[in-house]
Amino acid sequence: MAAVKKTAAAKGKRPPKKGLHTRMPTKRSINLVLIDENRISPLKAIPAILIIIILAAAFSKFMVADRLLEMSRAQGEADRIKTTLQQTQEALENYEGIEDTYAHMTTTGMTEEELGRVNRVSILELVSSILPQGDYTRAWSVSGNILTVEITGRTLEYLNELSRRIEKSPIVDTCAISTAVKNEQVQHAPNAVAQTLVDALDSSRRQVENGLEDFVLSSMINTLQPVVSERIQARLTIYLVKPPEDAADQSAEAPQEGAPTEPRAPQRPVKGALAPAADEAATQPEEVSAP
Amino acid sequence: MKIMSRNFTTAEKILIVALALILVGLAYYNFVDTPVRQSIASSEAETDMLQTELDAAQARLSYLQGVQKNIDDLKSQGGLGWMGSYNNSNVEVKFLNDVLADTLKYSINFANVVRTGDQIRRNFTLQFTTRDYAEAQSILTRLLEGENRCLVGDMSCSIDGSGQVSLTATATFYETMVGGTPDAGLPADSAAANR
Repeated sequence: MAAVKKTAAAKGKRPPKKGLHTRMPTKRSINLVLIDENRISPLKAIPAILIIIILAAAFSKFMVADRLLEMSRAQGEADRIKTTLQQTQEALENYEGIEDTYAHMTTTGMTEEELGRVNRVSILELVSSILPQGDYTRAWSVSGNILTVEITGRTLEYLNELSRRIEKSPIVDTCAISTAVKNEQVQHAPNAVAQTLVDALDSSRRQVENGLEDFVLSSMINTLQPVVSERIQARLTIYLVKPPEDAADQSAEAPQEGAPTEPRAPQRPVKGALAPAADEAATQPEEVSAP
Repeated sequence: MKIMSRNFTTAEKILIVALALILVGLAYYNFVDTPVRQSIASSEAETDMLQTELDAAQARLSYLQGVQKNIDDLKSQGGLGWMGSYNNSNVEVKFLNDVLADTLKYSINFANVVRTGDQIRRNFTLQFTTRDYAEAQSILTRLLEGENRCLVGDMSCSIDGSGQVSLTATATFYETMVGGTPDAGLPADSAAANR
């Protein structure tokens, strides 16, 4: 600035009067630094921003949201199983003490032979149904599932017909006449039959009107007389079998307990085959086999 | 971008971007990835444990449902009767006394008790005489269909001329060790001895 004043004085110019002040712009420094042209072109900025947004969105989706979703799913699965487990445990509480009850009812510890036995009550009923059929049933026995009945009948044909009728029972697989004997001893059987009838009537004597009992007695004896002349003492061997529904009932066992196998009936001959003759009957005279 | 009156160089920009990415990565790893992974692993472990427990519970439930069904079936079909807990002999003898009260004569011969696992067998031979066949039939029916499980094995019956019936039968009372109290009369487990 001093150099400028000196130059003006040197050129003869008057110095400015006192009191007159002309305001001149003064600039004491010059910024020589060039202002950067730092404008970002929208053509570049928009795609860049879009790319950044897409990348950020993708990152948020795949790296954050999906992982959180996966975590939530895993927790949800655990919660679901926990709920199911609670429900199952509540259901289990309803069965408390059931195993003790079952232990008193189960057939698990029983053998196949025991489970395979034909119901003895059914056998008693079967024998009961045979008794009036035969003229004279002396004895019967059951060994395993084989029933042997000592019976006296009128004729062999009659006994054979009886055995066919017995076979119709659901617990009978087959029935065969194992021995059939006609001898002196048997001839006396009708007397015993008559005596049985007399005894039976004697017990109900008081309930029968006077005179009628004699009529009944004589009538029965007369009826029996022609029959007793031909008497066959026979042994029926009856192979019993458990009805399918009974066998199914017995085999019902709880799972996981090693349920016993379904009971099997013992070996028996084919239906209609002859039964083996009993040892003790083999010595009887006039022994015949069933047709 | 201008700090300290100048633009960053490309290398600086790359470095800054790289650092920013590393920071984001670290933050993601620390605050998102690790907790999520731990949570998932924890949930999966819990799921596995619960699933194992659930499988066992469901298997038991299924078993007990089967047991219940069998009990219902046995109840509806009559079954073989109730097995008392060992030692139930007093009840059984009393029961026999009631059943055989009307017989003309009887004889009971108990054999030794047999134990197979939890199953107790009290074998006995029974002989009795009744006035007629119907009475004998009634006695055996009561014996077989009574409260205590009793199975009859072999039997033989003879009817004499007067109609009296003599019946001999081998029979077994069944008891269980479930709820039972071992005593001096309890034999060794034959099933365990055979193993």
